[in-house]
Amino acid sequence: MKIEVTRSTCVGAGQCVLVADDLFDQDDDGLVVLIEEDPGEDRVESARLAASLCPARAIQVRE
Amino acid sequence: MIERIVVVGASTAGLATVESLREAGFRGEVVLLGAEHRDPYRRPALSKQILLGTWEPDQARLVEASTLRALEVDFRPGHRAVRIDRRSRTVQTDHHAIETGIIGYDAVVIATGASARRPSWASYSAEANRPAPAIHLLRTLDDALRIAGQLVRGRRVTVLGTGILGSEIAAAASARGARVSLVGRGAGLSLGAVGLRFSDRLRALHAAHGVEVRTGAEVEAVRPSDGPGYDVLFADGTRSGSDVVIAAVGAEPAVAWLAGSGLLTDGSLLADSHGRVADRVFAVGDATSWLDPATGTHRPCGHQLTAMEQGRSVGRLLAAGHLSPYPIPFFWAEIHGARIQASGRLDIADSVELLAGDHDSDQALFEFRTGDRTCGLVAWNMPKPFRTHRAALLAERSPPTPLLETS
Ligand SMILES: Cc1cc2nc3c(=O)[nH]c(=O)nc-3n(C[C@H](O)[C@H](O)[C@H](O)COP(=O)(O)OP(=O)(O)OC[C@H]3O[C@@H](n4cnc5c(N)ncnc54)[C@H](O)[C@@H]3O)c2cc1C
Ligand code: SF4
Repeated sequence: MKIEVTRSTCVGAGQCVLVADDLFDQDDDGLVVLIEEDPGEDRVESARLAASLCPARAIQVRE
Repeated sequence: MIERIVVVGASTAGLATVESLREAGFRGEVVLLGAEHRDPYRRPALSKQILLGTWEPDQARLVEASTLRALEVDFRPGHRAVRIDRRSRTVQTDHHAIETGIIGYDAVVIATGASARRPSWASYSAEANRPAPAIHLLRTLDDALRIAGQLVRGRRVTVLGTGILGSEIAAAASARGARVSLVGRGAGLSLGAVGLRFSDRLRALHAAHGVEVRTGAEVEAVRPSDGPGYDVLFADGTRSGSDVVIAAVGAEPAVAWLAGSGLLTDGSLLADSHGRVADRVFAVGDATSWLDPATGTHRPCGHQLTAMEQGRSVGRLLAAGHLSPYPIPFFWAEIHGARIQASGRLDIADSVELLAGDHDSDQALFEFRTGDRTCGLVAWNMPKPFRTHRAALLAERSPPTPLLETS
């Protein structure tokens, strides 16, 4: 699995951090920072949930 | 047995429904009808990056074409649903070929969103042989591109409507060098469910960026002027000249096509707290109002995240019988570079407190309270504290309400 974030679309909602703070963080402007680009399969579920709840759809999860 | 699900409306709410159907294991057929001739795109970007000209239209895509393919969805752009027949369980579209024009369903999800409201005087067509003024409305990517082409340095731009959208359009136009006036009939500038509470902050923000704000002003007509551009005529007899006129005076659910289906209540598409309208009929996003279990009233969606959560909720219910909690509202806005974020039930607050930041600075976090309970949050340029406090707000979210029988 590979996670990609598009910082130019991120609106700093922090939804991703609320769902998976082991995968995502926010910088001082609130923009998403990817902590783990290629996490193990056990975290696919939470990565997908973060992606599907990101209001700006700034997170892509690829198998 | 549900074998084929038809989702009508291919934007945020419709796409979220399709994605969660697949995620939750639905293996049957999914048909996605979209009236626009485009792949789904991010509507919030229209009044921001697209008007500002910082994005190419393609950057507004909601999903890559490959992701859409991976969903194995029968996506039909340019197909507008015109009728639902609940007896034969079919959706009729504006495509005439029998094999593609009428589609049977086992369940249908209505996600047709909203359309921009046209002010009553906008249909006013001036004296014969003069062109009726072009009042721009903003809802689709095509609208946004048309408006963006008009935002030229030095032009006089009038934005009618002092809600969030009006403020965002005015901000984008002024960033592009236009001379902007923002005009509304209300007493101040409003921020969605927050109402006028931050009107002074918004005024200060606009003033700092050269946008002229005029509130309490009723527009009566817009006419071609004797010189270039238009005259905006006000009820008090004054007028102002403008080259471009954009109206942002609200949105109306796009449900006219359901007239006669028996699904509308006084013209509105009402659903329960899980998106069910009637047997085999569901509705998500701006098209519908869901029953809020906390208040027992139906509330419109109006925002991107709520549209997504409703889509997910219905997708999981249909695919796996899974019940989701009622979505807690969240929205954001970008006005002259200020990032405003809001969450919760802002309309029911009886007091507001400053939690962090400063009343007079551009950074502030406000807590909205009803009695001694926190019911909402609004942040100005304070994304991280907003997130921390929002986590607490979400933790108090009530569990899903049970499913009741539908008719
Ligand atoms: C300019 C603008 C800026 C916004 N900014 C923000 C923001 O910053 N933050 C935020 O939270 N929210 C914002 N919103 C609101 C947000 O975009 C909406 O809440 C969200 O798009 C609702 O999604 P939806 O899928 O329900 O409806 P829509 O996005 O309106 O999509 C409905 C789709 O259905 C199609 N359709 C309509 N009728 C038919 C039919 N009969 N048959 C087939 N297809 C049909 C339409 O063509 C459309 O593509 C903004 C809205 C606009 C217009
Ligand atoms: S949820 Fe999306 S918009 Fe919010 S911080 Fe994460 S990536 Fe950015």
